[in-house]
Amino acid sequence: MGINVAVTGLHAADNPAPGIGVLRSLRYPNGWDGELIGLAYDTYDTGIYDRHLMNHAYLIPYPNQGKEQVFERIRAIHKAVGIDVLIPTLDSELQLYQQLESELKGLGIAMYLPSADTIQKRAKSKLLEFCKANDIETPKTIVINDPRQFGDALDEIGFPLYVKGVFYDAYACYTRDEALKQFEKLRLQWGLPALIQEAINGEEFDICAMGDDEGNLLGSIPMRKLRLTDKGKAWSAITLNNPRLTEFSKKTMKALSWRGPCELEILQESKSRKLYLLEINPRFPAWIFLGAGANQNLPKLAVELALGKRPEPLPPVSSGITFVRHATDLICPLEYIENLTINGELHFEKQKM
Amino acid sequence: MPKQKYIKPIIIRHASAGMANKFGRPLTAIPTQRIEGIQIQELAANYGSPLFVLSVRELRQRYRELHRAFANRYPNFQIAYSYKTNYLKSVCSILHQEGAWAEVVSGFEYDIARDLGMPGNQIIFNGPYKKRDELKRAFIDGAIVNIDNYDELNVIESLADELGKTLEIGVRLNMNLNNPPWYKFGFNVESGQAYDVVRRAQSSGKVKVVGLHIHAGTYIDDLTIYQKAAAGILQFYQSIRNQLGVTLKYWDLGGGFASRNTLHWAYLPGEQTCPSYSQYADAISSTLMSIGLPPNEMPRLFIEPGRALVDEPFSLITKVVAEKRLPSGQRAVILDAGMNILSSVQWYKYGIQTVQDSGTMVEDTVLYGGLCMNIDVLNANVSLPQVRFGEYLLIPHVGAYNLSQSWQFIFLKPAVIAIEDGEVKVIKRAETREIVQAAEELPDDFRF
Amino acid sequence: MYEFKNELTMSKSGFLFDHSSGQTYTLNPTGKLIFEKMQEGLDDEAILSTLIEEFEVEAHIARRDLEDFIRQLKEMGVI
Repeated sequence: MGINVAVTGLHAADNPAPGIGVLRSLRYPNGWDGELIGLAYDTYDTGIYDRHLMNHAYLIPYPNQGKEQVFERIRAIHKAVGIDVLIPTLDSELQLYQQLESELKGLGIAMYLPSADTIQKRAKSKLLEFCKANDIETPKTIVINDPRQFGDALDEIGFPLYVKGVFYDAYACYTRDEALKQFEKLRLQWGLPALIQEAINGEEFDICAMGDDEGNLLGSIPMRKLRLTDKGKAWSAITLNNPRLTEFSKKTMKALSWRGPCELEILQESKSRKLYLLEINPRFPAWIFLGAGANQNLPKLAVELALGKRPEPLPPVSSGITFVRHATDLICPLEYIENLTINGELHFEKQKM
Repeated sequence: MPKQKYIKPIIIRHASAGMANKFGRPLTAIPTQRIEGIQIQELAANYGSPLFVLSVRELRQRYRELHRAFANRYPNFQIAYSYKTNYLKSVCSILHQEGAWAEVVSGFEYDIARDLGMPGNQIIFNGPYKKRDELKRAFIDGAIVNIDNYDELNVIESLADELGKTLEIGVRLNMNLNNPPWYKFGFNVESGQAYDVVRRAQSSGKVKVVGLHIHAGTYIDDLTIYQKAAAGILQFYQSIRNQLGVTLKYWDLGGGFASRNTLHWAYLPGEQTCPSYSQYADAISSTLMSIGLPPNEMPRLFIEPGRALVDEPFSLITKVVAEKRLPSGQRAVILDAGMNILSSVQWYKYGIQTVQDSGTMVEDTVLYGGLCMNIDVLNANVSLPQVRFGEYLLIPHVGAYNLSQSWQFIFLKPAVIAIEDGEVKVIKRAETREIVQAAEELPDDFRF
Repeated sequence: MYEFKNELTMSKSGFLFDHSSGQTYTLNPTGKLIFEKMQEGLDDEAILSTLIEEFEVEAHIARRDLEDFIRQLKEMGVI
């Protein structure tokens, strides 16, 4: 019997969501023995128009519509097609699915997510505390709660520095005027707190990693971005064989007892070659399909873990594998849009995934 | 052939961007027909609309859950209900039946508690403005008084002379805990001000510091703020115990716990972000317990919840008094309840529930209150089915602040009823013009 | 008699497509019925009696709703 997997985050326009890479990884290399179900938020989420990616597409309510409403919708979808494993892939969904974990389990839907406690610890405003306690380097950061702290913070960090929002946006600043301008801009748009962070000169690396219940590293894809979009997203990258990066992620994951997937952003300082932890994103990255081609199919691992299996750690990543993101246009009949608009669902002709 | 159920005809143009999907039946389209088993339409017919309704069962249950969450984790624990959140006599009295003490912030509230029969030694008197005679009475009654500023300390020291005894006080602290920090109240810890006031109080011989109080803010859903507050109060206690020989009878961590309502600027709904009572209790007591004293020497722990107890058990029944279409094409519905009785609408994106079955197709709707004021908007955008003139809507979780902060403005204030075991009791009659104008005089010279 | 501005296709589900502008709409069953009667060439009074015949509704409510619905169609540029 095949396993039916539902995946969220299917919009791949200029800032692609990870769901598409997750679905492609599951099908790689020889197809998927079960049904794949896409869960989308908008009629025009791009991924649901790709009939080769999934058997069924359903629209679900946004997380901010409320727990009950999302749960009711997933229950209805589960009744219609049967979901064994659900993989949420967006930051904004995580809290909701953590809270729905036991209710979904009651229906027979398994997930494999980091714990709420872990998520709290890696929050941007708390990362410094966590790193200090665990002997992990991270750029010096001051959390600004009161505009009067701003001047002192600049003196303490020194230029150049980053002015960052707690959730979004980061600006490199070289002078006080610039810093003040960006701080005011952030403050007006997002409110406080804001962060002042030391700018370290060096090279950035990304690692997608998968931890088990105790935070043991079961697989990881260290990569370096080769090309960036104007939003700073990778459109091309290459896998690396770098034991220091792997050790660093092992240590971080263990310290957080990280369960499930995450993306670590790491910086290597040019002179000292010291590694600094910049951020942890609690989900698969959009470029996750790169792993499938490099011996590290982490979404498949996620399905096994969700189903309660205890897989062995994967063999090391194949280095030198590259991805290039390539946008393409899908052609579809009006009925697709009608079905999604009126019924909120779309079913593709029976096919082996 | 029987006729079909009629729903108002509608056409919705699909926007080119940002169209929220409506799949999964929106909760607003699932009618809530009863409160505590009683038909909402019947309640409105009997007691008028708008109408505040209290589920006594839910209020008692919430109190018991909160008490249990803390009492299981801390040996010597007491809830003092924050009167200002909702000081209807019945609400306070039900909570006192359950075992709550009173937390008051004015002489007016103090009188309500005493009038209900609360002994002085079960009242905590807080706030930045307490009058001399109110303080005097509180000390005579044996109430717990937490001081806010030096001027108040001066008054209390002179009261000690007048009463001829040493008066026991608590000191309210403030720290940089949240954003923005609540520096308005009490004495600052980081700058050394709090330490100085304790030293001065102790050395005068007129007062004795027996308690510490801290209250970080309101609607706090970040548990680390409570951890920091508890750690701060613990550290401060250690320093005044070691250096000034202070022994505390109590520490008071205040309130500020969130409810399941959603703030306007929050993306996720409150039901997802609001921590449970156990999580609050964990955050506070695990830190305080680390002081390592034997259980019988632990200072008593007070908390002062308001919102987290009374928000959820109240609902507001309101009636559709008109519907119209705005030039933008958006649908608008006008209700008989406005922000005059729902002041928290400034902070909350209130949930709305239908009472009748109005079909499943929802439309983005702006909900206006009934005031002749353009700012009277209850919800700028809610997905609502086709509710009609004369139908009822239900706004849940309205118990905190709305009743104590409601304004007498344009309309009279509505009645408040309580339901327990299927029995309806009026706990506040609807206001009349006579009540509103009772304190007014019209001098003969001004008559026409 | 109403004149439709563009070529329009209504599906069974109440999904409406405007062939010249590319705009799409959703109508609820009541709206769909009125729309179809308009396409058949019925006038307001005839549509009104159809509504009263087929649905449980009082005449004054149906009349008001019909007016509101037609106003919406005009505002959207459908008729």
